[in-house]
Amino acid sequence: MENNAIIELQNISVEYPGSDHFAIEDLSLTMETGEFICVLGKSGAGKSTMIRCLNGLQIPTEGHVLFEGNDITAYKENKLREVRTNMGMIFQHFNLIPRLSVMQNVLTGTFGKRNDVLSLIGYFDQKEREQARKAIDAVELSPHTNKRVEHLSGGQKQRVAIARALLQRPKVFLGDEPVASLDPGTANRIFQLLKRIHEKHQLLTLINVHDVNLAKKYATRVLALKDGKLIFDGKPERLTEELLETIYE
Amino acid sequence: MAWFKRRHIITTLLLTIIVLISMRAMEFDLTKFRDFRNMIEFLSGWYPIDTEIIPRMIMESLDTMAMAFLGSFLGLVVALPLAFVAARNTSRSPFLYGTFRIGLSFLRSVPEIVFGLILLTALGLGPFPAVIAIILHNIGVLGKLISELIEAADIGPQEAMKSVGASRWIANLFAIIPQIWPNVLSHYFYRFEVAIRTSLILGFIGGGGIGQQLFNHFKTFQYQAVAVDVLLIMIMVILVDFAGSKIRETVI
Repeated sequence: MENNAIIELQNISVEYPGSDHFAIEDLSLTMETGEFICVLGKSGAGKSTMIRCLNGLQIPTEGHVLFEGNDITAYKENKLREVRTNMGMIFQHFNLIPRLSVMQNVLTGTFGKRNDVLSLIGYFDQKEREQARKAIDAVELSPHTNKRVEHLSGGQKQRVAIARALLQRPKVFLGDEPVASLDPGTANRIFQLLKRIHEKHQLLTLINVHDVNLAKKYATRVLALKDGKLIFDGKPERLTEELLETIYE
Repeated sequence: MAWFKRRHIITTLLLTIIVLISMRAMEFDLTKFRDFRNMIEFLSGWYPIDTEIIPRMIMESLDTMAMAFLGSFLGLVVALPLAFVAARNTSRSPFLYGTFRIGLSFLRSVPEIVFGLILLTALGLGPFPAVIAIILHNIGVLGKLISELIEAADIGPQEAMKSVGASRWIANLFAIIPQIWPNVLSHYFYRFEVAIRTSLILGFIGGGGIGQQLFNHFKTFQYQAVAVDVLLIMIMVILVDFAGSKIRETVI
């Protein structure tokens, strides 16, 4: 079992400067390729902080984060960047680059793995463009390829962000409340897309989500955080009404 | 009295006192306008305008335009990268941030005319020291304004660029520049317009252009030529303002 672990958290705690309590407290977890994990919890429960620890956007105050067996907590910026190229991440507010087209936004997904000067002048070879087109096709946005991203709807914007993450050819797919600003129908379609990508590319997918039904429908494993502590870790079927009440009370 | 608290009344009183003191110091007295007719007499001497010099003055205006453009544009070119070092969120270290902030404040606090007068001693009379003076001051002004835009930029795209593993400078560039670009342009065009007026003043100390002509015409009482100069200056400022808003429109 240990051998399949792609990410391992060893007793991590996070304390933000100036705060008197832990955002994450003594959290230990093992995550494997092939798992589709949904993380539940109220706002401020530590979901965002946890996900940001996985790709080194947040360095835990204590404990270790292991990616493919290597402790990334001690990594310098350059090594961390390399780790991040393996993890696609999407966000609640999509975080696209304004004023650029869908194609241009998707191409920025390659920035971790290529020469800065070539990125700056906007030179992408045939292969990279082809990959970008495929990614845009995979999220069903081909008719909008050359549109500016400001002109898209929320769901379409999130699809662009997913395509950008796909271009990283990630091993891990992270989502920090990716459907929290979308209507229920759109949210469901985004989850369908994530699940499809998850299965096609054999990923570890980890999504923070408010909507318990989405978690029940799509997750293979559910985590629940409360006040920075893990209070549930198991199959979605095992989520009981009492548990949900404790999570959200 | 729902809107007014005691401290509002005190503020009003204080402001009134300061205004009155300043007026006294400045001999601010509207009754002096009873000699208004002198001004009309003086202005009537501006007419008819001296049409003969128009072509030559247009050339001088173009000189002024070049001076203002070069000064403000090269100022922008230098200020843009410096602004990233002088912004809290993109600076590499608090030390660099502090140093560049102070450096920009220094450049900003020295008026162009002072730079111009100092540079005159090394570079001699002419437009070159004037351009350098405008560049230096604009580095200070645009550097500060742009660094504030950078600090106010939405952090989301920066996080996204970080999370794809982009290097710091590429992440900053791509996440921030597109966000702040329209505002950078409007600051720039405003500074261009200001630079036109500044280059007039610098003309008075030998910087050339329409400013120097205006100064000379005034000194030699050629008011019909002065009228031409003033008209051309107005046209220039309006044109830059118009071009600026057109360019901004296409950018947004």
